[in-house]
Amino acid sequence: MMNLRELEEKFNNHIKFQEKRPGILQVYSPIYREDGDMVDVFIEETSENKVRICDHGLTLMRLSYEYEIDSPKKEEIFYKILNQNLLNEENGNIYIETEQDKIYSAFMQFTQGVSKISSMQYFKREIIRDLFYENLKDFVYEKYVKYNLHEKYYPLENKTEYEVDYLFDVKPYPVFIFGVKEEIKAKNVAISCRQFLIDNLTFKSVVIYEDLNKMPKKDIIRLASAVDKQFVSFGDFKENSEKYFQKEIAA
Amino acid sequence: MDYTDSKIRELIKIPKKVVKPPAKNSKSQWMYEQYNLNVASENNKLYFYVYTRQSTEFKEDFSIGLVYLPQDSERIRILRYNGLHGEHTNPDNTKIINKCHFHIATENCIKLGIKPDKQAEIASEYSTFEEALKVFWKDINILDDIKEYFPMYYNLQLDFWGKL
Repeated sequence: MMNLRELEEKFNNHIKFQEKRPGILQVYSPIYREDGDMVDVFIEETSENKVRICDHGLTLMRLSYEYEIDSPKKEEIFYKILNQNLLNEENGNIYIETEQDKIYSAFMQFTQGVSKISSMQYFKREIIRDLFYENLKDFVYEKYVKYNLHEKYYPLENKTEYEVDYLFDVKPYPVFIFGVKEEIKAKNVAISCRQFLIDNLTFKSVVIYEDLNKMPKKDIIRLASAVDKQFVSFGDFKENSEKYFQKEIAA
Repeated sequence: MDYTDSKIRELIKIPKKVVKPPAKNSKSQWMYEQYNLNVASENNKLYFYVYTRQSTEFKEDFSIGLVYLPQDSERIRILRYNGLHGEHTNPDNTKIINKCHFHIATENCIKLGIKPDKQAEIASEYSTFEEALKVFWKDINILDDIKEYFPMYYNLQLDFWGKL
């Protein structure tokens, strides 16, 4: 039998527990997310004196309405937050286990941690500076679905080593979009574009650098001779790409 | 863009067509099922993103949202049909306790600088995910047949004996 008296006392009885499923109590506490919905917390007894406080995967589900953890970099940040807040995760279920007499501090630890995870969408702009590929993807999906957008496109049959980040399948020519953050990617893009030309593909190619100033000069020269258009930074792309595409793509 | 309540309603109601259908597979690596699709106004001037999420463990806990993607400013979620997930508190402190509800962006919330769709009201037209998706599809005025994009929910097959 769980003893939840400590939680009730510390919350001055502004907390309720309701059976969600057999053995799973849902906690109604005065802790809300920004959208006014309650923070999801469940308590389960794991052994005589131990309980598990968890969210049954709902924190990540709510986060995904606006922000997906869909890249190694984002996963790294997610697990860093978990570690820093002494939380665990199993298939997306975030949890902390504690002895019953320490339930209040574990509860606060848990809600603080999941609140940080719920705010991950803000990190991309304000804290994390190196989510270039993720930010580029968000921007392209936000602005350019209208250009018949496809992600990860392989123009040459049976040659998956030549990959295009994004295809705008438009007239008069398909547009191949490449994000470039580091030297190896710059080399791969230059090689791919040259191969497409050797294979007589007709296309326009566009490169977006994370920051042109950080790239070695030889890579810039190699790319400049292989592609049609370069944006010197993600900011440049955000500001000027719409005009460029309007001019290049038939209405 | 200055969002007024009437402008938001207009964005919700404008006839739309699917421009990027959802993937066939709904599995995510976590504990929910998901579909994402893009829709646009008929004249291709306005673009939107639609998502569905449903907990694999608590099927009654789901969300179906409409996000407006303006070309000149940040995206904004303008409508969201939610299932049962506990409690919601509105900006005026009124509460919705364990009932299906829908969130709608309001001019007031935007002006206050809080989440645009923090305002919610009890939803009486649906009680399951499948019902909610059907109502949502109709309410945001997608002209395509929902069965084409979500056959798994609506193309029920009769068996040899004529039973569902």
